[in-house]
Amino acid sequence: MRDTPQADDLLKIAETTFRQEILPHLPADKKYTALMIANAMRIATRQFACDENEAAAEIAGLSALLGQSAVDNNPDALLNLNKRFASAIRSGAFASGNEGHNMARKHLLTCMQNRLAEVNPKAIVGDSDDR
Amino acid sequence: MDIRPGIESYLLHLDEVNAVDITDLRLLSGGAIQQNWLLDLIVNGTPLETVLRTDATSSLEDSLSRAQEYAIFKKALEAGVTVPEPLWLSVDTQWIGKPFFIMRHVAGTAAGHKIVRNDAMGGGRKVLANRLGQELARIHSIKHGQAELGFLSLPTPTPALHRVAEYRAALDASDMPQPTLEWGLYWLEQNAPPAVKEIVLCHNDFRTGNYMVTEKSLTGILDWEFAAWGDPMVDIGWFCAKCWRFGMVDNEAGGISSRDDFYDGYEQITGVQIDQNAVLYWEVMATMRWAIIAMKQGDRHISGREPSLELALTRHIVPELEQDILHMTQETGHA
Repeated sequence: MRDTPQADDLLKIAETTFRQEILPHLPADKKYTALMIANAMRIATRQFACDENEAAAEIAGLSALLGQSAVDNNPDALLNLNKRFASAIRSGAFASGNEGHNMARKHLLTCMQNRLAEVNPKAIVGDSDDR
Repeated sequence: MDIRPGIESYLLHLDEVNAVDITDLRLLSGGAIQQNWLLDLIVNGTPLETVLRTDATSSLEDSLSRAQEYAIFKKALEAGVTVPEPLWLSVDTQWIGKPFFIMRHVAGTAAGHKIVRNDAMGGGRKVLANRLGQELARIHSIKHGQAELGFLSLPTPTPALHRVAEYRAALDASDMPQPTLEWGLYWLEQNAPPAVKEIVLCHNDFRTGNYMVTEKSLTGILDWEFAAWGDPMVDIGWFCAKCWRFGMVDNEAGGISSRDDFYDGYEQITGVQIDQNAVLYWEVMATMRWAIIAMKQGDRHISGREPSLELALTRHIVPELEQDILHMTQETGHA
């Protein structure tokens, strides 16, 4: 068993300290790089905090869309389902007017928002469906 | 590598140069694909401020060579486009190890995030947007068929479907499936406009961040390395796309002003009214293109070929672009 504080906590306090104590003292030409470092640390912190149920929900959503019932224990299940989903979209299986179009769009919105919540939550804009 | 002696020898070998003194030589920031060096000279006793442009270590496969870019600068200048005057080109690698060209330095800034937040740039927002519309119209006055630009590619079967195929190939080259980008590409395929009547020179990177401007006026259109023949609406969509407004999303023309101000300038020169629906299609395409570029840039880091924090973070812009794509392609209309 690891001792605490662990990765998420360490990253978070490292970022805060970096922003408060180091960043203000850097010369102007290093600020951009410093902000990128702080941003990368913040994204990593959010990734640690992410809801583990999201992957299971994504698998369930994809299985429903692709008409695949049971979820296997293959570690690549999510990747494989997404590959099938991507290829079905390209072939027009979820074209406008087709059954599943709205459900597929909703699934894409949810997955996009989950990822955006990790990398740039301020950028999330409500969809016109729920506006 | 110190390029100073090479530049000096190159200039001295030119017939018109008898004496040269390099008073300043500095690598300018920005430019992942090209390197720009500030190069201040005294040539035959007269000060001359220039920029030397050459390849960076990594180059995108679909970008033009320096010699081709130089030819485009000359053509654009002839067409009345405000570009830095191209002075000398060397395709010979003996001088600094790679081809380069030297152009006259133009004053001002190209920093997009600063330009969009300053009401005075380029003579004021309306004036700048109008001027940019005019500049773009002059670029589009260069019609397909110019012998000097014979090296430029012609999109087939149509400008739109050419891009759809190109971006699908980019997705196929990656191991990670991208359902949302596929969703956008399907929409782009289904809604693709027919071939245009007149194919023109497209800048293909005409946006805030790629022109130089002072508070007085626009001083130069830069970054021509993606120029190609195409549908003129491509450039208008790229300029207006939300992802190139640098956070000033309400200023739909490049973050600086309204679409009307920009369109007016364009229409003053071409005499043809811009079809807003056509532009919206190309804004979806623009967002898609930026997402594909961001993915490729991320791959350069992920593959270990070019470890870079900036490239790594660029990959994470993709979800925001996906959001724009999903909103813009919604059936109820363009959000």
